[in-house]
Amino acid sequence: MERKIGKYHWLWAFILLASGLVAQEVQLTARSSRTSVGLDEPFRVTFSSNARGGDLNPPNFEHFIVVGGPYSSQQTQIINGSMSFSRELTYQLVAQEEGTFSIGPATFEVKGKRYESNTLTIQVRAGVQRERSASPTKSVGFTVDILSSKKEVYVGEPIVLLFSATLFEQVRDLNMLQSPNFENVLQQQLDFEQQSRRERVGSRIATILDFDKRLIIPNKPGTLGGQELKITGAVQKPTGRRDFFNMPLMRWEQEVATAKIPAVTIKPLPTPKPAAFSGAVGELELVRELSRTSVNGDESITLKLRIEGTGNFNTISVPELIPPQGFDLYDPEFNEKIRYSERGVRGYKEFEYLLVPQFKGQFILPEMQWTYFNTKNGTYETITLEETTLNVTGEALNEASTTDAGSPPKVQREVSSIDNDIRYLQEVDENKTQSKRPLLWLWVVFGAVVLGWLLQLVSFHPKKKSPEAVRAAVKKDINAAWKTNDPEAVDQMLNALEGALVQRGIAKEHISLSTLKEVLGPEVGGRTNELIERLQLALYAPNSTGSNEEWLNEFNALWEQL
Amino acid sequence: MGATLTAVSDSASALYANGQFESARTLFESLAEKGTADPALYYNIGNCYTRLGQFGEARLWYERSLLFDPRNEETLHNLEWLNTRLTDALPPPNDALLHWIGHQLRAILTPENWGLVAGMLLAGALVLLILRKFKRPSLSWRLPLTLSSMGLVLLLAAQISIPQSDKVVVVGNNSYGYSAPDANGKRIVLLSEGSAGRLVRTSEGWFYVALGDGRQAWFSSDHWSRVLPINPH
Repeated sequence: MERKIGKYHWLWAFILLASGLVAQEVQLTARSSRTSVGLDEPFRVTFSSNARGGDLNPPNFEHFIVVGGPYSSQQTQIINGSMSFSRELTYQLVAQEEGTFSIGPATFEVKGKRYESNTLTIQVRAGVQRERSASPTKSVGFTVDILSSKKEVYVGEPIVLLFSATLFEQVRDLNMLQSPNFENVLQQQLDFEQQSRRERVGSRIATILDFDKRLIIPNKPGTLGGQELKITGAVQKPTGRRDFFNMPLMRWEQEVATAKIPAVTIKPLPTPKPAAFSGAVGELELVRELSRTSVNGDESITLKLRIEGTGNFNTISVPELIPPQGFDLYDPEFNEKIRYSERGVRGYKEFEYLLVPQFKGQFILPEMQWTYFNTKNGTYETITLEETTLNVTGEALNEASTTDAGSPPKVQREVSSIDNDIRYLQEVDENKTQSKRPLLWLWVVFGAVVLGWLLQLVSFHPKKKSPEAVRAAVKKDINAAWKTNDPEAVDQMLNALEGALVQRGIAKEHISLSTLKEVLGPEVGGRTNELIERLQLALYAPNSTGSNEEWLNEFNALWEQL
Repeated sequence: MGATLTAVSDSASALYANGQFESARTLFESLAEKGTADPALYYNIGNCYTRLGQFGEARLWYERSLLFDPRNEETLHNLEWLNTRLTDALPPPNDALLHWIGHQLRAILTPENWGLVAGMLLAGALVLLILRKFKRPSLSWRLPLTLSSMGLVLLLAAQISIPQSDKVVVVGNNSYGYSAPDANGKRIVLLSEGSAGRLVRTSEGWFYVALGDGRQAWFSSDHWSRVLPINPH
């Protein structure tokens, strides 16, 4: 039994200790190696916890840059049978700006419960300016510089910037903390292999490490601006102690170095700019090279059009060739060779054309002009490539029509082959003349048709006459007919009377003595009835008619009263 | 008058036959100056220029001839013959839509014939309308309306088919094209005699010409001639 207990007592002890730890209150604290630091001076911030599980979340280190860490460590201690556990997370920081800043609490979560550390306050003061030319203090392990190819440029003129570190001690883990973001420039990182060399700087021998190269093309006048370059590295420094073999003991210390943007003045391009300004800036040449100027019909000419010199080759384009006459022009081959150095951007861009003759004769390779800004003279310059005459010979080709005004006179062409000749003259019709308004007459006809259609819309209605006028007209007609002994006169008179009676409300079939007397009165009714009867009788028995004159007078008298 | 013109034409033809192309050209052009508007005359002038080796002028007159007689095979042949000898192998410039339609219509009938047919239809419509109004009101309106509509369409066809052209031809030896109407501007193209383009706009001694390959440039008008109007030298 004792054996069994002795066999498992370590297990029991562990369980008891573990339960004791769990029972401990969880603590999370933050501490800083320094509360007052200089700019670019590294310091450490450590978060400690006595809890075993859970994840520690660091705060957002606003105003600071993490240059090292996080380094984690944990420790278990048993003192007088009492066991303690601690875990630490350490960050190495560098301040970005002067002032007093707070580092917020770190957080820690265990079994759903959240713990927070204390807040740290750090005062940041101005750091020590470090210049390569100045004698560095003994504590400085390395410095960094940005070297500019030029101190004064025009807008569009390229600058090459070289990022260089001077290492006075053994340095490892060099990292760029903050890249300089240049303002109002076109920036390009250039292919570059790190190079190092040994140089004397002040009284010390240092290693110069060129680690980055950039092409900057400013697009606004002013001064080159942007944020500083910051790099960090671990510097090997003696501890002041020696080991068993009497060798000095060393330690690695994190350091940060800052380089300011070089002071480069950017001058504006003079105004007004020429209309034909290509945008090229630098010390440049436009060159046109011809492999030959006289060829046979079965040969070709190679033409190279090249811009060379120092300038903004990244944005320059070779001007388009004005095609020569009488040649087929094939798609050009493009060649370029550009070198970026501290002295600027040098090289060339070139189009290589192949010209194949199509006719025999003399042809013009046209004049070309190209305008750029010469940074050496500070003026716009126009390069003119003069017209060149190209001679093409050979039997296989036709002669073409063109000649230059200043070149040899036009050759009279003989068109001798009948099959390939032009057709003969045509017979001219001298009567054909060109009218200024050939279709004017047609528009007149069209206008008449439009009028015809308008006429269709208009109808002719005679003006309505008044009843009195109608009555007078009827009376006049009857009198005229009666006096001319018109056979229709009786009928007209009868119809007129019957029409007048209808207007008085007596229908034709109701005409009778009694009705007439009732409507027209006894006298007029009786006279009217008598005249109607006479007229009816005369209509059916023309020979029985009495005095025509008398009837007409009676009609005229009654007509006024009806 | 007619006899005189015939005599001049015959003389010009005789000179041409004798190889005196310059004299023949002068006589033919004198006919054009007097108002003779015959595509055959323009064709003959083009032939004279071809024989003289002035391919720019030759093309100009052939283009004028084709404008009035688009189906003339001899003119088409001569222009094709000429094109194979021009230095610039430019595609022909695109016509404006109405000009193209007019060209197609002229290939069917001359503007005068289109006008004649249109006039007959319109006259028929007019007679029917008068009859309907004053003598036969019962006459249907459908027939005069049909005739009027057809007449109007043909009238428009006749109007559109009247030769119009914004084509211009290089008659000088060479002509530089500039990016702006300024001789000090940037030169962007060089054209040879006989090249043609479409006149887009003009500006005091300058033509802005659209070429068949899509390029456009300002050219000095001294080196170019318009196909229309016809201005003989």
